[in-house]
Amino acid sequence: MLQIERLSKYYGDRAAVKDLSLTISPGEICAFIGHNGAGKTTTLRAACGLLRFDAGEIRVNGISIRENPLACKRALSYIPDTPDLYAYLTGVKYLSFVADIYGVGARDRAERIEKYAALFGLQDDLAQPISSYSHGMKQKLAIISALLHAPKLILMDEPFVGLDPIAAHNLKTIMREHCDAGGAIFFSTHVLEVAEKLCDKVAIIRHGALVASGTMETIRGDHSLEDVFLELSRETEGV
Amino acid sequence: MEKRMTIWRVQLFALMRVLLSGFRVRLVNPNGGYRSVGKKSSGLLSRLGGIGVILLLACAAVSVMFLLGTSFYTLVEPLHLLGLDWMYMSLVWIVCAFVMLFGTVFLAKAMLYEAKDNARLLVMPISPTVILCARMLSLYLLNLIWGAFVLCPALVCRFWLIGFSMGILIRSILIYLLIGLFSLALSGLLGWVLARISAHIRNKSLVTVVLSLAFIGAYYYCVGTGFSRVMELLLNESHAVAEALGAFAPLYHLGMASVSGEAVSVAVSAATLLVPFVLVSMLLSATFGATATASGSSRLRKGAGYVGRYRVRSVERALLLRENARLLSSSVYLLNAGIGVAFLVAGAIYMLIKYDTLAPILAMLGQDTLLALFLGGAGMLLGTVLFTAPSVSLDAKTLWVLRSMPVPPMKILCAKWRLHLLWCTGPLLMLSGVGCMYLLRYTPSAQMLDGGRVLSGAELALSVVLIFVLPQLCSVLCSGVGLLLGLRFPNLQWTTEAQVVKQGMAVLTAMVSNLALVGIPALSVWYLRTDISVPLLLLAWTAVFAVGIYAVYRVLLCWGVAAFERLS
Repeated sequence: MLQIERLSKYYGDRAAVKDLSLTISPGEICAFIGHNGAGKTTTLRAACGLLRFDAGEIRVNGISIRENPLACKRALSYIPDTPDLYAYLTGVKYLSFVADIYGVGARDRAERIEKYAALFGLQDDLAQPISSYSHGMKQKLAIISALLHAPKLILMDEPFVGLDPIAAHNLKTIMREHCDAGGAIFFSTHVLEVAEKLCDKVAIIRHGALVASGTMETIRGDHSLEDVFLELSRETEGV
Repeated sequence: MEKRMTIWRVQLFALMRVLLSGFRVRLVNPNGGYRSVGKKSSGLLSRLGGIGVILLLACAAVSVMFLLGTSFYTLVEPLHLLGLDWMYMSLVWIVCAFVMLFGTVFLAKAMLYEAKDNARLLVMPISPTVILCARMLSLYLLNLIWGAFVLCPALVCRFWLIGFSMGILIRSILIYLLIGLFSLALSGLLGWVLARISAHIRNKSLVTVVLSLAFIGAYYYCVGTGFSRVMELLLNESHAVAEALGAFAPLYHLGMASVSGEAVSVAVSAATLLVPFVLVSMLLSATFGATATASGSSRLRKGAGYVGRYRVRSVERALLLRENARLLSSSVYLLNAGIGVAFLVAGAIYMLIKYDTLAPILAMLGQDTLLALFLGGAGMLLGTVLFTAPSVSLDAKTLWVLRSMPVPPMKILCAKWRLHLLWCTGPLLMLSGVGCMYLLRYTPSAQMLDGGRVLSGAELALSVVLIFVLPQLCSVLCSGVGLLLGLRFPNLQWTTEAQVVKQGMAVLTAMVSNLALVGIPALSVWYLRTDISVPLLLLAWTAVFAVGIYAVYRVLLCWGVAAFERLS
């Protein structure tokens, strides 16, 4: 579903991501973990076509994001770490706008909006301007908008930040259902317990380079993900 | 007490340092300090471009000062000979205050109460008064910049024709600083009223626009029309006007304080200008925290229905409606970038109502000059509509939404372009219709001025077509160029919309380019109208505009799309 091959991205002379390769297959949820400034957001933004990269290749469903960004974007959804949405629109107008852009039919959009708004407890607020939403409500709206066109691949940057426990639980359920139906999810997180329980795969990035990746069982072994992550951090720092 | 004052001083200086560094960055770097991630600086070329833009703006500033200077030039000597030097200065201060107020009144609410960092600063141990002081100081600096456009030519004319006086120079500078405070009081008061009202209503933007236009209309009616009447009477009845102005003590003392420096006049002027400022400052200071936090969010009304609102639209329409929603949601954007639309409609209505008065006067110019004058006027009004130039920058942190979606960048840019046409096409057609009426009902005057002539049948037919087509082409071209400038000078790091809509480099350069796009054809027609048929000249310009639009479209398609994709 998502193939990242030898991705490199530089900001001036500094390498934000260096020679990173990763593959996520249909049905897989892959957690992307690393310290602040490790290159997670850069990788995610490059994978969804928001950021041009200097070397390597990214393919969504076998299509190069560099050569055919529109075809790739039709197949994926992106949820950023800060949900900066159109504050001047109401929730429902924003969702309708997203549905218009993706060409979601009237029946599908009505059905999906009703379903997800009910799931996240947002029905009563959809007619209100987004400017009046709390951070968590904006995050919920961003998640609903990402699910509207039933994407095959979902890229998420810290999706659980700002969500209440019920919404976080619902999101985890949706993520699992999405992958069980043949979709794929690649998301960054600092909450290692969530990654450990939810994900099939894990990729650990440090200073722009991938230091470990594979199935959760392979990476974790008999230890907790937290222990592995801390150990890898110490090793790469030479402690 | 002393300790608290020291803390306040340190905090104010710290805020001012941030503010001034922002000004400095925007001045040195036309992109507002923004640099696209991964974009390498083009070094010398980029710096030369920045200098070029600053030179262009300086030329525009000198042109405005020259235009104002010509008015002052005609007044200064006659009034001096009549012993009415004070009246000259009174008039200068009236114009100065008006220009200052017009320059900042639409920004006050946004700059005082809607800055993105208000909430961040209010949670810090900083007195709201200090935050307010820093905000007001930035408005005050803007006032002084606008006021300088009036004071500089006025004093140059005074010193050139009458003789230099150090006393007048120093006193004028002091009064200029005080006029800035007076104007700041008026802007601040309107900003406060708007912020208080909009905290309790849902249609904030619309109410702000209506109230602001009403305020500026009332101010213009009181001061502007009064000033026009004074100007009309000046040459024939100078002493009567002097008596009338003199009867209004503050204006008399304001003029006298500048010219003679009499103690009573200085005291009255200082009190007149300072008291409103002090009172408004106290009001704003006492309510700043509550007003700034109240205006930021509207009360959430739960349960309002939305079922049945799922209308399916095409991508193009969805994008256009989003642009329109953004425009309607921001009073700053609507007032500053769209006031020209109101001018277009007002111009058409005024010309329609005043037909019986204007037609005989315009008949003296000749039918061809009437055509050129009308198109030039329409172009000038159109030049004040600046929807496209700030459009890209206004998207700022929400750019990711569209850029992560499967929509070609050209469609996004075209939606911004079409927004301008959506708002301008109707008013322009209305204005063209009225212009057409003037042209078709034209009756030659017996006192026709030299150079004016009546158009032949074929020329008239061509003129009717041009009167509708040329303004529309001009509208498309100006907005297209504005869009390119918006992409050339993006500012995605703004803290208030005013920084993009009013002070952004894209907007400033778009104003200059609009002036050039209208001014150059107007000048060519003015100087060549006796040698070449005016409709034919305008037809040639129509062709040039059409080619220009195609060129802008091509540049947008190649360079514009790439520049948009680089933004992140």
